Amino acid sequence: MGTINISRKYTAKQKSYLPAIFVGLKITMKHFIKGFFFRKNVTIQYPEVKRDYSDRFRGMHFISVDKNKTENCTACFLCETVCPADCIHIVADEREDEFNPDGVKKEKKPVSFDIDALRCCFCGFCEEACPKDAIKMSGNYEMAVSSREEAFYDLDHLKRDIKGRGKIV
Amino acid sequence: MSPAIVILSVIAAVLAAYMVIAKSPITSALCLLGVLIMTAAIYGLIGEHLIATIQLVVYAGAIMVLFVFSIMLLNLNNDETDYRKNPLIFFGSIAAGLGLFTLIVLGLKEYFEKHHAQRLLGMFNHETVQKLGGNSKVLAHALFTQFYISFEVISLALLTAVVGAVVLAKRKVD
Amino acid sequence: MEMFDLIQMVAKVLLVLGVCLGVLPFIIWFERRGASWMQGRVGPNRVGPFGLMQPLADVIKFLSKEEFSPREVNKFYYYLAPIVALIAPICALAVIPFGSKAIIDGKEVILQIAPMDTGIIFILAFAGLEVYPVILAGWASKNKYSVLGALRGSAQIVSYEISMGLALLSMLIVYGTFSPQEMVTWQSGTFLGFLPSWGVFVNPIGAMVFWIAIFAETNRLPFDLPEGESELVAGYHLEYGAMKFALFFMAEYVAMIMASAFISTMFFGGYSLLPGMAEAVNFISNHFGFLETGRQNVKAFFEFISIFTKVSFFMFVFIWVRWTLPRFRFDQLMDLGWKILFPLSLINLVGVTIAVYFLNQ
Repeated sequence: MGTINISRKYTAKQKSYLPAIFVGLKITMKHFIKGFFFRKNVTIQYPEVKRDYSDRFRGMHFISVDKNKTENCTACFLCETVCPADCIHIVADEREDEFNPDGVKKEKKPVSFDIDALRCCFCGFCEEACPKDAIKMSGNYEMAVSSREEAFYDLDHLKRDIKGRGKIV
Repeated sequence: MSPAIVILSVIAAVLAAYMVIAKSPITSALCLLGVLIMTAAIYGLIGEHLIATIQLVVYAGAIMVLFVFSIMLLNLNNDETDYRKNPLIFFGSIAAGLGLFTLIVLGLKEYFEKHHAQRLLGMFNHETVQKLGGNSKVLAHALFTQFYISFEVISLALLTAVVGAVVLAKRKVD
Repeated sequence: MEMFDLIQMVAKVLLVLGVCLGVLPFIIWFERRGASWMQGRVGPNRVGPFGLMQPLADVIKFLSKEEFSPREVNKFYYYLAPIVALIAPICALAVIPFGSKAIIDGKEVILQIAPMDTGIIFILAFAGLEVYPVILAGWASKNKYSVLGALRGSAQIVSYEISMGLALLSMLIVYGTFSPQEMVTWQSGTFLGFLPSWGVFVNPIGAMVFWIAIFAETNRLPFDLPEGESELVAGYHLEYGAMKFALFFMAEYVAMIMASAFISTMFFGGYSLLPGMAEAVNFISNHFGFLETGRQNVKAFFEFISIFTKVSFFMFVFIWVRWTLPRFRFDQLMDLGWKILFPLSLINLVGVTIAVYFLNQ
């Protein structure tokens, strides 16, 4: 091994730096005029203006509900099994018939459905594994919380109305 | 003499004394810098702006920068040996300094007595200089006519010094 | 000293200091917002209209921070360095003329704080002192990065001072004087029939060398090796916090103002009226029916506007270049200083000398 010396032939114009410097100055001046007179900047003024992500963005989780606010989840444990971060914890129980309004018999329901968002890696496997399209990931990316407890999403939190990609079914 | 000059002289004297006593070389160098700046200020106060600015440019701006720079570059440490512990050197150097100072004072006194203050200025008093177009013009004229040869000889000497320095430095590298 | 002299002297000092320190927050604001505009960003826009109060907020932050100094530093030099950094360029501003003369109460007031016949050397002297804060701060901080920054800074400033001095010397030969006032008078004519006889048109190579050297002297971006955030963290002012850092920060901008004023006086006609201003002076004087005195005062006002415009333009160029060019490597810096600018300015000096000799025949 060793160093490889690459020698390039420079013209006198390139050696004197000056033309290149003026080209650079012209470019920055162009941007300056664009920013100063026309206010065209690429910065997004975040709290006021929010960024649009694509529909496939994987943000905060939610559980879809039917029109009676009953969760579609049947506590099949597929999401908990597939979760690589081991952040979903489900406790299942039998489902009463009055919570089956569509006439489709569902045998189980989750008594508690907890997601530890601090462990979650937002891979979206749970969403793919779910046979009932119950657990979904929304476009909401503002997930900052002021205490650790708030980052453990329980069933009530996951069933809330949500905007973004995941429209409530 | 205006009080400002007295104050500046006292500061200069204190700094000069501290320059000798100080243990760290960079303190000594900066004290010397202070003395030079005070001297420049005194020159400025008595109206000799050219000398004052040249003092600043040459000594404060060039020579002292090199001093401080080389002290920093070589990372000189504090002087380990304390000369005050050896009474022979301590009193000897004080006596030598006082003797030198007395000789300078005596020489200056004799010079001032021989030539009056008026004649010390020669043909250039303040009005003449102003009439001839300022200090810098008079100085430049004298430098390039009356003292032309010595000026050139000094520049030649400087050139020799530069060449010598380059030769010495080069030999070390090879 | 008469009362009138004292008052006019104090007024001039206050004017220069007030304008110079008063525009500092605006310049700092502009540096940050201009940088963002050049990079397609927005920049600080939250405090006050257009973010104009941002420097004020910064000052409050700096003042309310803990006054901290590392344990190992050499306290005296550590605190001395930022003071020297700010004082040296402010002193140099004393000999920059910002107008020919105003007539107040029948007495002429020369619009220059210290009308010396050796003004240019005076500026050079205080520009030479600007190396001390770098050395002192770096050495007193007892930090390897600081010492590296100080060594680089002093080597850079000393090297570029030579090219700067030679470029200056070529202009001194053209003007034949040290006095800034006389230089501006020399430059108020026309050159080749249509150009204003500014130094930059008479001696373009000298102007270019001087301009590049000024960047190195003020440690601005293509030559900001003493600071070099990415390699030396912050160089010589690494160990400085709170108001001590703010002093260094202000000193950088005051030095820029001084450099801009210096180059506009030397090469861009100083306070001599910009095209169109002479007509404005005539128009205003005729409109209000001013006599000789009033006309001179109006002219002095426009001269102040003229040098203010020029200084602002150069400040803009400083900022513009900063956000355009990347930093030099140290060996490239020394190559540029010693192998290109130094011979170039020397050849230019000889050429100018010969030209002046034959044109004066």
